Amino acid sequence: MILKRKYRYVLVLASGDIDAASAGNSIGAELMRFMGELEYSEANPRIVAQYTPRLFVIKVNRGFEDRLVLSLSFVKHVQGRAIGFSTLKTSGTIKSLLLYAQKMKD
Amino acid sequence: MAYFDLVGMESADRKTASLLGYKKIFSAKEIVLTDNVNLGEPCIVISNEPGTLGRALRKGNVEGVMIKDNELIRQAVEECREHEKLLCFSARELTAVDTRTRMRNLYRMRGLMAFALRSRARIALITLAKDESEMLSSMQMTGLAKFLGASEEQAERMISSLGEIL
Repeated sequence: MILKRKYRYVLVLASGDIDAASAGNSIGAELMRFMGELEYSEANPRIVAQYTPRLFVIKVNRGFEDRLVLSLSFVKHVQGRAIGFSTLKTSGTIKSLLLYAQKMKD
Repeated sequence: MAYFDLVGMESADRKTASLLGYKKIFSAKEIVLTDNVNLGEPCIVISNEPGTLGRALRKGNVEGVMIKDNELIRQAVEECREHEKLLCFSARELTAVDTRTRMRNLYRMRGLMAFALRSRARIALITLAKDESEMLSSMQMTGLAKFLGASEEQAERMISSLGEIL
């Protein structure tokens, strides 16, 4: 029997503009520093969408969202720049985060 | 439950507060962080001397105290409970420092918080952010409080206690 893997999506606000595609590896490396290699590989966090230069979504395996939120609190430097991250909302679907992000823009 | 935060900046706008999940973010202008016990305005006194902390806790304008270097000063924690003042913990001491300092602060904060929770002192977890990159959302603060040894309910109370007392 193949079990369906479930994910949680976390909406993140950066303190400055970033390009999530190019900064992804750098954020991942910082997260790995705080989570540890084993937990990082289990959590498997990935940037899956960027709505604005400061707002993006990280997908993480279910059960590891709390660790991701905590680890993001400690990340203060990305690609040599001083940037902090605030997590705004977690959800089981990316669609609800999109709606939330749109509401924020309005 | 409404959440509140205190930052080390001159001002914090309302939009940022609601975005990060807070009802209000108090600025350094509204509540002064000082080591001077004789200040007349609302303040939080930072010290690691039991005498200074004791004197501060008996003053009306002092909203709470923060124990410097998170030293376990049992007398100050117990007096916090007696006088119904806040015992403040700064998240900045964990997030905006180097690895070695973070590990030391984490160990000390856990010890102090465990004693404060056992003593039923009123605890406030604040960011004391010096700039925007150091600000944390209420969700992150709850996670941080739980990481320091609080339960879900205690963690939520730590983030809302600042509003209850002011």
